[in-house]
Amino acid sequence: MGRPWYSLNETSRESYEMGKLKKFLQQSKFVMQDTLQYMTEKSVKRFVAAICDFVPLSCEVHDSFNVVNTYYTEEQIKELGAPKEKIPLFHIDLTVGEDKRPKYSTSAKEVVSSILAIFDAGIKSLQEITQVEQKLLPHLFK
Amino acid sequence: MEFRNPSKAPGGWLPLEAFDNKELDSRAPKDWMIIKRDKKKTKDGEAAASTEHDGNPRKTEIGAQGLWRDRDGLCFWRKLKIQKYLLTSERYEGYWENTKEKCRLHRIFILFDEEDPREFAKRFNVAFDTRVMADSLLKYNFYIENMPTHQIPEIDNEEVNRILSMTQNTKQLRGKSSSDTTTLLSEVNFEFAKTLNKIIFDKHLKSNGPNLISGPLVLPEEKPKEEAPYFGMITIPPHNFPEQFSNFCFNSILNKDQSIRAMQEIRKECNDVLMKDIYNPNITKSMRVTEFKQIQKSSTSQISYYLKETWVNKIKDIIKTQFAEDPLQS
Repeated sequence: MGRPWYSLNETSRESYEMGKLKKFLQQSKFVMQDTLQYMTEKSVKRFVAAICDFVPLSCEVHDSFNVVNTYYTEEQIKELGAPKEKIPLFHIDLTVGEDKRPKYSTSAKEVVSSILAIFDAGIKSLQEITQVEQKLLPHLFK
Repeated sequence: MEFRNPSKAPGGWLPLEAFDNKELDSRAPKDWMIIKRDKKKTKDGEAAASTEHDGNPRKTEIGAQGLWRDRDGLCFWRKLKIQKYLLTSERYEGYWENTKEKCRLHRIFILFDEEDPREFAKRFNVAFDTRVMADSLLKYNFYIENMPTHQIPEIDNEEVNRILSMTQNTKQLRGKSSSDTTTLLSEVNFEFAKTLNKIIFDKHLKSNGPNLISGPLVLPEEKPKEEAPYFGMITIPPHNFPEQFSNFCFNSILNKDQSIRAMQEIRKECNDVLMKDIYNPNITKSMRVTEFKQIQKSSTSQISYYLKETWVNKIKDIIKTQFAEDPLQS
């Protein structure tokens, strides 16, 4: 039978390239990539849904004290029995700024940019995952 | 085809729409409503003057003919206008042109003006014939089920024993002779008697059918018997087995249980990863933006650490343990 097919102690890069271990690792790599992709898609969808859940269908601003938000259509309310209580996503304070004028503690733009930044950071965190191949056979990959 | 009085047609007690073959329809139900609308637009463009006459914009009304039933159950084809399609009941709703009465009809009773009547006739015919056949089959089986069974011989002992030994020859059942088989056996016996009756009935139906039963039966054609194969096995063209086998072993990674086991464990690890989240989608209270950022960040760094450290190393270890060199093998 000669050399074992899945030798982890293979020292020659060439025989590794020919052997079955490489094929096996390739396949595991594909499985892992697939997993990452599906996990990411699902996560992003869930994140988007979680954020969108706080977005009303329509919003009527009468003044800064009177705002009417509609979250459900009438059919949905009929189905649910009664509209569910909604909480606001963010807690924002009204403060007096340096120029002595009242302002919000977080500007609207900032809210949007933070959500986008969180999204980017999440995607970025998936980069630079070491390949199993390199961890398993450090003597072949230097 | 006589259809003046549909309830007197053979099999008329069965609803015709149940035998309609939808695949024979040239358009989907929705398309019957849409295409007309488009056409109307162009028509309107051509003859704008005529529509202005009416003044009011018309709703979609599609000209068609439907089967109209009068009080005595007699049927005529009459003009009607279809207004909409009801998805759940699969009926078209509209009104009769002469009486303005509302009506709901199944597709099989409607001939659209735009439709090729020959196609419709074909389709109607198929439904009609299928119904006649269904009616005959029901009667046929009814006759057989009601033939007396008490003079039919039962399955003899030898056969019963063979059935019992074959059916109880599984891991779970072996050796448990106590299991009660009498009800099951009587069911088998009943089927046996019914089959014998069917053979008898078939024979008499062929020789003097009309005298035996009340009306003619239209039965589907008998399937020709399949030719018995000469061999009890499948024939494979000649080939070089050792060579193909060695090729397979050389190219496949599924010929060693270590690799199969390893792949299975890797998949399990990956399935665990699929359950994880990059972000935290469970927001149950209002919070400041900074707090929100913090929560999301911690969940992101958690998954990042898990993937880079735990996950990859776990998979590495799986491969290492599975493929650890067996001293006996090398």
